[in-house]
Amino acid sequence: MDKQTNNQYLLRIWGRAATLVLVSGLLAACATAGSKDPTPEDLAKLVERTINAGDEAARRGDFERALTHYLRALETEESLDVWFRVGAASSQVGRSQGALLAYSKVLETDPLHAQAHEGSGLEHLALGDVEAAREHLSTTIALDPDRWRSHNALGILADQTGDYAAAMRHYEAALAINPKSPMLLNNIGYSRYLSGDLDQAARDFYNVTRLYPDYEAAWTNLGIVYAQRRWYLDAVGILARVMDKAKAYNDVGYIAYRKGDLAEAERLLAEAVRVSPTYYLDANRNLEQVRARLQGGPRNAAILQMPTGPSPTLAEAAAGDEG
Amino acid sequence: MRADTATSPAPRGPSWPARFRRRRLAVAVTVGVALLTAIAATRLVEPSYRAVARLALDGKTLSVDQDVANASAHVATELQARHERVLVAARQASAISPRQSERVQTRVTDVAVDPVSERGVPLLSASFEVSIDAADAREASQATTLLLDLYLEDDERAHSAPPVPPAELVAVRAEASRLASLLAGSQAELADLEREHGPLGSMDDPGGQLTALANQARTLAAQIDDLQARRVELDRGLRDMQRGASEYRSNPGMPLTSEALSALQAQWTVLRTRNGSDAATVRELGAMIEGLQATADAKFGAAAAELATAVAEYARLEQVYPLDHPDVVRQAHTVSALESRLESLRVRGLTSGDRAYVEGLARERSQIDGRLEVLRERRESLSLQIAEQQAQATRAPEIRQRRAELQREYAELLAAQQTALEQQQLLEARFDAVLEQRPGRIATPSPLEVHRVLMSRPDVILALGLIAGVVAAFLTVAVRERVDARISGTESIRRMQGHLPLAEIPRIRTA
Repeated sequence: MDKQTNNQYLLRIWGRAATLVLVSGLLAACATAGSKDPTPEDLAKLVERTINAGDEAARRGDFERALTHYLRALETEESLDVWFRVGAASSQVGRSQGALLAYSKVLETDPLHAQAHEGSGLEHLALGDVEAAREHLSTTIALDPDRWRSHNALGILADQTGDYAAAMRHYEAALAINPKSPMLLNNIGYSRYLSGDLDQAARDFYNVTRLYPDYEAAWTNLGIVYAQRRWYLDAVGILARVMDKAKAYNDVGYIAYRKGDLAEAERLLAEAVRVSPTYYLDANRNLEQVRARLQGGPRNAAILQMPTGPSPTLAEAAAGDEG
Repeated sequence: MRADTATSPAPRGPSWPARFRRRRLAVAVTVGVALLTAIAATRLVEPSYRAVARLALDGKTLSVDQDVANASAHVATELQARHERVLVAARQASAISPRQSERVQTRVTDVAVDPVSERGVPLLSASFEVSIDAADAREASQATTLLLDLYLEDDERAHSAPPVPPAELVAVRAEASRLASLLAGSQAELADLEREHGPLGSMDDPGGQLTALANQARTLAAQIDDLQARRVELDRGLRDMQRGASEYRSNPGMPLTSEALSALQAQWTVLRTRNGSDAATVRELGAMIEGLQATADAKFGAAAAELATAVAEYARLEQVYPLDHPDVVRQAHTVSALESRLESLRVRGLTSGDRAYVEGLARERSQIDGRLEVLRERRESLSLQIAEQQAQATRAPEIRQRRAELQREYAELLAAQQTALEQQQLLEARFDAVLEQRPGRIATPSPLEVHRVLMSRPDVILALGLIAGVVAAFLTVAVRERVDARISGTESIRRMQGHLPLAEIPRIRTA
């Protein structure tokens, strides 16, 4: 992120905060007209109440309100703890730049702040800045080996570089810290999928679905693995548990097409069109393309609509939904 | 009328009733005069002698068309014929004078019939007499003896010489023979014409013959076309059945499929049908097919074992995991894939029925060339016939006219021959009847007899005597009536008085 962008972002944040402070000051002036200036104890109490209100909002999942409270607290007192909370809340509402700025403020004050490094690493990973992410996450692990999200993120980075053994080590380390995380189990299966061990990947995804039947990513990944094994009807059966049947047929049909099984692809896509209660645009386009291929037409796979593919649950990893 | 009757009485004289009344006198006078005339003739006419020869005819047969009931007539005819021949011979030999020949008499005295003889035909036997009257007994005897000799000679001649066919029969035979010869010549001439110009029947309708030949040619062409089409069809079918076989043989590393094995077997069957079982190619291909089948069977066995293992593993996994476990799903797909592989490895060749079918097609294909060759030869022959027929059609009127003449001549000859043969048959039948008929043998069972004949021509003498007797009787009765004045009956009264009596006492017959 360049410096000019950061400054613009900070100006926007600070402008909003100044407006809030101004409005609050006017209201306070009206309410305390004629009273004396607050003491430091009063301010400390005010900051504490504001932070508590933000935490309360964050626990309710209202991260926007939580961010507002944290920013008010920051107006009163710029502390490392408040900056960290601003970073976390910004991450939750998808304001990666703000989160990175907040984390950088924390790290300016405390360069050994493991959580800030972790948050910064996850945000960089979400933004695609792999090197920065790896640096922050590695620092995090170095500072605090028990940061399971950092292990998870490092595992994802290792998968991206094809170092599946390292990825597996990170996932296992994370799993040792947080053994009940379906995300970690799912990511382990994904890593095995990437490494080509489809049987073990299927077992991993299946185990996740056994432990957490509502965990859709595992069902999806399991269905994709089945489709990659050309077990198309089994794949449809799996995918239909977490998506409508027409989409399941369409996605599996797409994979069949990519694998060269044109007849199967046509059958699956035609079934997707048939079972869809409404006009299924993607399935119809895919079906036309497959039929054109079957009739000797030119290969133009790009026209096909990309279905949902197997993927690690990065968003969940970044969100830190498991504490 | 009554007045006339009264005034003119009827003339006197004997009336018929009067004559009847004196009938006894008339008969007596008649007989007496006749006897006197005969006696006088006997005394006055020159005495004559009669020589009588008794002859016997034995063994005469009747022909089939002669009735036994008329045996006497048949014998009389036979004897009359012989007698005439004898008289002719006697006159020619001047053995008897013409006067004597007029006085020769024959008489059949007895005829006997044996209806069922040993020969199976009715046999007739007869006795007859031949007599000659002459003034001299010696002359009568000599003439009769001479006739007897002539009878015997004629009989001997009739039995020694074979029967001569009648001249009519001989003529008819000659005519029939001549006609047969002419008929054979006419027939030979017709045959020559037919040999020279083909069947004479074809001359009747040369256009029709040409049409018929053209139709035959078309039928033949259609058959050839059908056979050629069938050959193409068979070639295509056999080629399709063998498709891939040559490719497989040139590249034996290819996986053996049911189609490839069937193609190889079809090729082997076709080669065997065409070249025989001992041909090197056939033996080589047969050995190759057997080797391939053995290999395919081994592969199939291995795959079957693999499938069995996979099925067992599936059963084990099914016991351990739920059915939607990836391992169970994977094993199910593995089993399914192995089943598919096993099915793909199941190499099925031709059945015995299929092989018989292919063999039949190959045999038909082998025979079809020979049949085509025959049909083509026939078509060429037919083309020659058509050309010849066309040439004949040009000459047909002339040949037809000549043939018509020959046929007419032949028909006439045939009819004439038929008539001649019928006539000959009729005459031959008659001659056969004559041949079958035996005239019998003449024999002289008793010696010649000569005796004096009391009355010569007694019939004439008796007739003259009777006529004279009747005349004398008539005259006698008339004289007696003239001199007799007694009244007897109403007629006497009427003649005497001119009218009838007033009354008459009837004559009453009493018992």
